[in-house]
Amino acid sequence: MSRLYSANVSLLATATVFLLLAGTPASAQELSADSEAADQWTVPRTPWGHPDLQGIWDSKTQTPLERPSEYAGKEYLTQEEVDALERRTVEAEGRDERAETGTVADVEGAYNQAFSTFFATKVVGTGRTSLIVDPADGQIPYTPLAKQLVADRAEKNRASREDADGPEDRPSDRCLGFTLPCTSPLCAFSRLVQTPDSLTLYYESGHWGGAYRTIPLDGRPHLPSHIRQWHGDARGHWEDETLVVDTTNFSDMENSRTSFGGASKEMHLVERFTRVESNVIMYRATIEDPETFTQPWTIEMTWQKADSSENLIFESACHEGNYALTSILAGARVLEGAR
Amino acid sequence: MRQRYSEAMKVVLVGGVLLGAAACQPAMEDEGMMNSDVPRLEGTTHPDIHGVWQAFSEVEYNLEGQAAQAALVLHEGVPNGSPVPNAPVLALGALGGAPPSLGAVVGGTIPYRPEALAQRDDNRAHAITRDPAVKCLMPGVPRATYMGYPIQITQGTSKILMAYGFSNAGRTVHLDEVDAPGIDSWMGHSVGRWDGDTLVVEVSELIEQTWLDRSGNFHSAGMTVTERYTPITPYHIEYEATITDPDTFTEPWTIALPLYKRMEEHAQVLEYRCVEMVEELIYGHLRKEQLVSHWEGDYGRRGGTLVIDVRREPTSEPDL
Repeated sequence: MSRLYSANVSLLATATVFLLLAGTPASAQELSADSEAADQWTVPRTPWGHPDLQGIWDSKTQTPLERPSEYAGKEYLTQEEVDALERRTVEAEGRDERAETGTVADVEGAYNQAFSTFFATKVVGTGRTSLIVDPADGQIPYTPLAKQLVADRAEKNRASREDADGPEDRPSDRCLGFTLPCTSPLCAFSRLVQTPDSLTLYYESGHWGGAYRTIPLDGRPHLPSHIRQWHGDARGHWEDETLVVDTTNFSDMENSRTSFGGASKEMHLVERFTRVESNVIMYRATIEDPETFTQPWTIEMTWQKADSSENLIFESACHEGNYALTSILAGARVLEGAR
Repeated sequence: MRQRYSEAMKVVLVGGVLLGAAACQPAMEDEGMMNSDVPRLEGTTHPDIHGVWQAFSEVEYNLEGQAAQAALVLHEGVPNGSPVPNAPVLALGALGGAPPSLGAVVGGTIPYRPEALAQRDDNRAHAITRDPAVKCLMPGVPRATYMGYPIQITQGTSKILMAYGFSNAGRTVHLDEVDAPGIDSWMGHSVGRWDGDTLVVEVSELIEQTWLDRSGNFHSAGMTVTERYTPITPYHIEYEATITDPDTFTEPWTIALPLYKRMEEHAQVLEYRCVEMVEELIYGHLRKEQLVSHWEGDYGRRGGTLVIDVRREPTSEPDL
C-alpha cells in the first residue's frame, strides 16, 4: 500500500516537472512546441512502424468534466493557479475527517488520501478549467428533455442513497464495471499493448471492476446492432501519428444508472490517442448521441506515462473481494428486524 | 493426443534443423530451432501468437478425465439404477450433464498427498456450492486457459496480454524485468521468456481460492505454474502447464492440451461480464423481497410438469 502511495507522489512530481517545462499550459501543439525537450523528440515506433503507445498510463486528474461557474469564460488556468490549486488539494483540511457516525457518508468517507486512489490532485496537463473543450462553454450540451431526466435521476439517487432492498439499490457497490470514456480517478490507470493489427487496453478499476478492451485495427465492420456490450464495440485505425478508435454497440445501462453523462445506448464514441511527448498521450474523446445531446461534444485529457518496471498496476478483483455488498444487505435486513 | 503431438513435434523440429542447416542462416542458429510453419511477429524473430485462441477440450469438467455424468450435482439412484441429476439442475436435462473427457494430466493421475486427496474428494461432493467459478470469480491459472472460452492474446514487444472470455479475467505476461507485486492475486504474476519457439511463462503469487477444474481439484497458496506455449502451425499451439505445490502434491505434475486458433472471419472475444448474472445466486437470500421463488416447466407427456420451489435462507456458516 505504501508503494502505491509513493508512486502517486512520484507521479505528482513528474506532473509538476512537466508543467514547469511546459511553461504556461496551452493546447496540445503549443504545449509540445513549448517544451525544450520536444524539439529533438520524435515518437517512438513499434518494430512494424506504428507510433508506440505501449506502457502504463495515468489519466487521473482533479479537473472536472464540466467547467465550474467560478471559471465561467476562462478556458485556462495560469501556472500560478495550477500550482495553487494542486497545493490546496494536497493540503486541504478535513480530508481525513469523519462524517457523523453511522451514516453512509461516514462509511463511504472512511478512506484517507494515503489509502485510496479516489482522490486526484493533478490539474489536467493542458491546464484547462474543464475536461470538456467543445462546446466552448465547457458544459455538456443536453437537450432540454435529457437535462431534466439526468436531474431527476440524480435526485432519485440522492433520495435512495441509503436504500438496500437488493443489490440493484447499490449501483456503486456491485462491481459491475466502469463506463467509457473513463474520466474518473477510479479507472485512470491503464496498460496499452499493441500488435500490428490490434491493440488491447487493460483498465485497472479495483473499485468497479476492470476491463480488457481489445481494439481491432484491421478494418473489420462493427458487430451487428443487436449485440451490445458494456464497453461497446471498438474499431481502430491510424491517422498519421494518431490512433483513432470508433466505438458503438453500447448496452443499455439505464438500469445500472451508470451511462456516461446520461448518454443512451446509441452513444457513438470517437477517441483519439496521440503521443505528444515521451511521457504524455493527448487523449481526446468525442461523444455523439442525438437522443441526449444537441451536438457532439469533446473532452481532452493528458495521460502521463508511469514507470513500467515499477509495474504499479494491479488486478481489478472487485467482485472477488466484495464482502461489503453482502454486509450492506445483511445489515439492512437486521435493521428492518430491529424496527 | 500427447504422444501424437510429440511425434509431430519431432518431425517439425528435425525439419527445422535440416532447413536451417541447408540454408546456413546464422540467425536461425542464434535463435535455436525455428519452425518454418510458424508466422513471426513483424519486425522480430519471435513466433507471432497474437489473436483469438481456444481450448476445444472437456478437461474443464475433470482434469483427470472421466466418463460422462448425468449432472454436476447428483442424487443417489435407486438400488438397480445410476445416480440421477439432483434438484438444482434437474430441469436442464441432458444440457446440464458433464461430458466425458480423456483428461489432460500427463500420466493420468494428479499426485495428491493423502490428506489433500481427501480434501479434493470432499470438494467434489460439494462442487456446485464450492467451485469459485460458480460465483463468477476469476478462474486463476491454468484453469482460465481450458475453461472453454476464447482467449485474446495481444503480443506486444515487451508485454503479452492474455484476456479471457470468462469473468473479465486477464493478465500481463512480462517479457521484461518488473517488480513483482509481492501480493497474491487471482490471475497471479506472470514472467515470460522465449525458449526458441516456445513461450515459457512462470506464474507465481497465485491466490489459493481458485480451483483447477469443476471436479474439486485444488491447490494451496504455495502453487507455482510453469506454462509452455509452443506454436506448431499457424493454427495450433501446444500448451503445457507444470504445477508445483509441495503442500498439496507429492511431486510436480503436468497437463498438456492444444489451443486452437479461432478461424472464423473477424473472431473476437466478446464480453462475458457475469457479475450481474450471479447476483441473484449470491445475494438473493439477502433481498428484502424474495425474487426467484417458484418455477413451473411443462415438458409435455414425456416429462410432465416440473415444479420447483425455491426458499432462501441466511447461511449457517460465516462467509469470511
